[in-house]
Amino acid sequence: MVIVHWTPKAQGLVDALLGASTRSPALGPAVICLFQGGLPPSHADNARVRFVRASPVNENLDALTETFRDIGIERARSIVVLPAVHVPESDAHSRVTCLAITRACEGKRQPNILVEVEDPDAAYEFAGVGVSTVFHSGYLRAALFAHACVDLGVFQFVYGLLQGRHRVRLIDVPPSLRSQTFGVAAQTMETDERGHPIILIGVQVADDNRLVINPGPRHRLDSVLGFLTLGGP
Amino acid sequence: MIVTGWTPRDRREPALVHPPRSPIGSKRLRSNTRLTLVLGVWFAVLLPARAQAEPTVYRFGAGSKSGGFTQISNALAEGLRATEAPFELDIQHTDGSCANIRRLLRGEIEFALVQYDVAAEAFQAGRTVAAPEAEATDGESRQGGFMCRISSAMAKGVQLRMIAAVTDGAVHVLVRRPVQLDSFDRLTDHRIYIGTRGSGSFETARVIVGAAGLTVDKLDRLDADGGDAFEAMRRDEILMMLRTTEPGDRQISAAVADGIATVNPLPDDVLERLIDAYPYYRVCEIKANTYPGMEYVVPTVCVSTVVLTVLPPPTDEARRLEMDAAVGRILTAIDWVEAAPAHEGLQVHHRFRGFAEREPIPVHSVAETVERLEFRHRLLWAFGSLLMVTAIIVVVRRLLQRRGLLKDPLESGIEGQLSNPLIPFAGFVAVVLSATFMVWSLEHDSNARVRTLTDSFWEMNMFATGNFSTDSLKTSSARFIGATATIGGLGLLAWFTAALTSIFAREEMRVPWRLRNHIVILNFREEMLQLIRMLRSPGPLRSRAIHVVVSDALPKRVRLHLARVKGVTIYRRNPEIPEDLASLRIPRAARVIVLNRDAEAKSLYHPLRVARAVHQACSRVASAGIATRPKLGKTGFSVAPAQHPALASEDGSDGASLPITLVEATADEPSEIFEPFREWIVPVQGRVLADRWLATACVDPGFAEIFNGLASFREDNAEVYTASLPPWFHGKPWRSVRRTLCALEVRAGVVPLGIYRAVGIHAYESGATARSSPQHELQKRLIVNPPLDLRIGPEDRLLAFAENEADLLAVLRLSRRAASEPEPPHAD
Repeated sequence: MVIVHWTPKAQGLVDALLGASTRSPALGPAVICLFQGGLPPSHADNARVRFVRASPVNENLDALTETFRDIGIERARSIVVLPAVHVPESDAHSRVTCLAITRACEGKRQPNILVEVEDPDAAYEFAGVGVSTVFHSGYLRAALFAHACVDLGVFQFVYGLLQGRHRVRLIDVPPSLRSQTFGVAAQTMETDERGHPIILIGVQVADDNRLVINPGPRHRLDSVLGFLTLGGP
Repeated sequence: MIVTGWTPRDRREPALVHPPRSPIGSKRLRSNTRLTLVLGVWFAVLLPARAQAEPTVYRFGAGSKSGGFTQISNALAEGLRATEAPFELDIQHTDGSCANIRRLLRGEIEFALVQYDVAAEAFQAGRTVAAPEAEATDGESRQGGFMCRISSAMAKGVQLRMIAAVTDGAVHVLVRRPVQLDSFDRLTDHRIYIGTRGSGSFETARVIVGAAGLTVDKLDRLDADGGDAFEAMRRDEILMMLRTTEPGDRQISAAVADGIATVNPLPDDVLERLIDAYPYYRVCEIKANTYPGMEYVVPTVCVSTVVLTVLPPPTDEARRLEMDAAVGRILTAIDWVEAAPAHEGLQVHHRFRGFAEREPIPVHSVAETVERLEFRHRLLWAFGSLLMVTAIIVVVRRLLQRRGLLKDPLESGIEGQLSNPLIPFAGFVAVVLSATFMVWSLEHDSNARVRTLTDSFWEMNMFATGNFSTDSLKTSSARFIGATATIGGLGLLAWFTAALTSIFAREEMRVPWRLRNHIVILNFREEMLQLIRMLRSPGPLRSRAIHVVVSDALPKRVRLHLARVKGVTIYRRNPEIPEDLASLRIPRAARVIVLNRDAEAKSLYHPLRVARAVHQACSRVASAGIATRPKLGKTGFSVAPAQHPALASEDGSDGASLPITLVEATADEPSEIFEPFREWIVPVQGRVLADRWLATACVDPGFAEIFNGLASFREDNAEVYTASLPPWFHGKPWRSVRRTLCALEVRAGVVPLGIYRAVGIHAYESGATARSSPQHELQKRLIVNPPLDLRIGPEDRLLAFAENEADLLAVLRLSRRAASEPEPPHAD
């Protein structure tokens, strides 16, 4: 995973990524952090994290693109673009950074790019630059507080999802259920291959690979790519 | 019997000589006794005793033998005897007021009962300088134009003095049924009766018809006595009677009761002209139910009957003293008659002033003395009462202050009340009421528009609301009061309007009915507008009132945006001050959310200090409601005892409690800073959770889409809710619930996720949180993807995906039939 516009304040994200990653250290660092300016002495390369200085995009877009190529960004599983600090319009800055990433990956596999914005209204500006997810931390907080106000049980569920206590996975559709409906499948599939309880919560439709939660009990499974299941960590 | 002077020894206690009285008169007797004793002392001290031969009988002018004047005179004579006066009255029967005043002027009688209008006219006649040719050639004065044909020559040099007004007579306009007269314009067309010539009633009626623009000569009058007049009315021979008599007159009563006549009001124009021209009358009314079947008040004029005398010549000092003594005795007798139950029907009530609009006849000196003494007595009584009431108020106030029942004086300063609309409203009421009383006291005798307090009240209401009119009030004093009421009333109304406008214009409009089971958001910042949008999403069934506390740093456009959201109340307060949070009724809130500082806006409020303020605000409510004092903490300041938080996801409890409080914590601060509140605060580390979200989304690309779907209340089936499981699921295994709900092909379908165990009415017991935290306890309640054989309890709630909350509840209701069907065998 690559973190662009890393600062010491983003160490929490680094720790979270390290916790979520299953990459073996022998394969190289799990997280590469691109920073600008100076690197604090408390942070240094180690087996799992690597720090790379990058030019600010407003100074030299080509140099940044080259840096991306140098670190092999096209091989990254995911790229997180954080808001740049000390710039007047960080979201615009992030968009141009995404352009640099897209250039660096041109002709190659496009990684999963996540951008954190400061202004939620700027989300639409990232259309067409290869961004798969635009994230605003305020939205997450608002969602958490809203669910806490509406229903504490739901709040705990969402909180558990974030904490990783519950995981959503995509599994294949058993051939025996191809001709059935989602309702029948939900009744039938009670455990996974390891015998752990699972719940079918949705499907991945074939048309656009879209994930649909609760498609309805009558939804036919003949055009479904996989099941969304909710299970433990 | 020789009267040597009037000493206290000549008077005995009225209680020793009077016949047994009812308790009604006893209070008057006590005051009369005091008065009499005072008079006795006064006479004994100031008047030397003289042994002279004095007349023992005073001539007293009454009226016809069966008339009211005679009855009063007889009663006075009886009173003199009862009070052992050293003289007697020679009651002389006359034709009434006119004869009496003439005899008084001629010196043929010493005392007389005279209608005040007649007496005042005679007095005025005496003040007029008569021309020499006014003397008739035979030595007799020619007839004059004053009432009773009194001329100035007749009254020249006679010093009339009023001893006391004893009764009131009201002008009754009796009209034969079914006629109703609202004007006297056509009076000459009908036969009427206006009294016996020479009587006061006749003279009054003459003046009344004069005010209507008529003379007595033009009237078709019945010349008879009162009894005959009533008979004539019964025979339909006369249309109308004008009588001046005490309200409740028996003859009038009989006529009204028999349906012969009704009591009509005096026409307004006649009444106005009468009062303007003859100020010896006063505006009054005949009260409702004075006569049988008379259920309404009848406006009219009243005139008093007074006891008159003539002062002896100034050179005859002895005579003066003798007369003074006699006047004193007569006043005592009047008191006696007033108090005697046997004479209650005479309606004798003595007054020295205030019985006419103008009272030109001077009050006799002895009567003046009595009046002053009575006034002092009333003043002393009023002063004593006021002292007693003040003492009671002071004592009660001290008691209340000691018990802490009175508000802190710092909280009720005058400045804090300026914006209270009740203050100007109370001031307006005070202005109207005080103007009502003042104007009524000034003009109730002379102005029909303020005849009663009620009339005066509505009149002053009109004035106070800006409808000043000089036509309504007659005297300058009353008009001044009216103008003051207008100016004051308009000013107070403006203040009232401004205070109301201020309340409605402020963003902190108080809506008490929204302060229960509400949501409180403290230290709001712009970024959290999304929270408000989510809370107003159509998905959840219940839409709670939201109360938002903002700082001055919040941009105005955000405040305006918030103001447009339904059910949101905005407060511009300091959330770190517990007193500022009192009006939010935090103990009754369902949720309290404490947000962190807005770094960009440089907000000053720290969530920890805000949490303290919330705790203090709830502690104050709790300590005010419980009998035991809160325990002292280590710092020496009292802290609230442990409180049970409100029901999780349900309504707040009735008692004071710490509501479920979520605090937005940051990664910059150690989690231990909320340790003192760990038993009730749920810290939400926003940045930590955001990092985890990003990390999860990095590892699992589908996570973002899934999370977005379930976290937001969008138009699809991915909303998550909990709902109570119906009784037909109680005791059944989770597998059964799952299959039943998954099999239901109704509506959009639900996906059961797990069980949330809300045991009892508390989200978490204080004992449990002593070892952990609310968050930990809530976490334990949620069982996602439970074991298939987990039994459902009565308090368990279902966690499920659904289109919206209503859909989930509908599916559960429809599950009854499916739940009762036998389960198919499950595949292992």
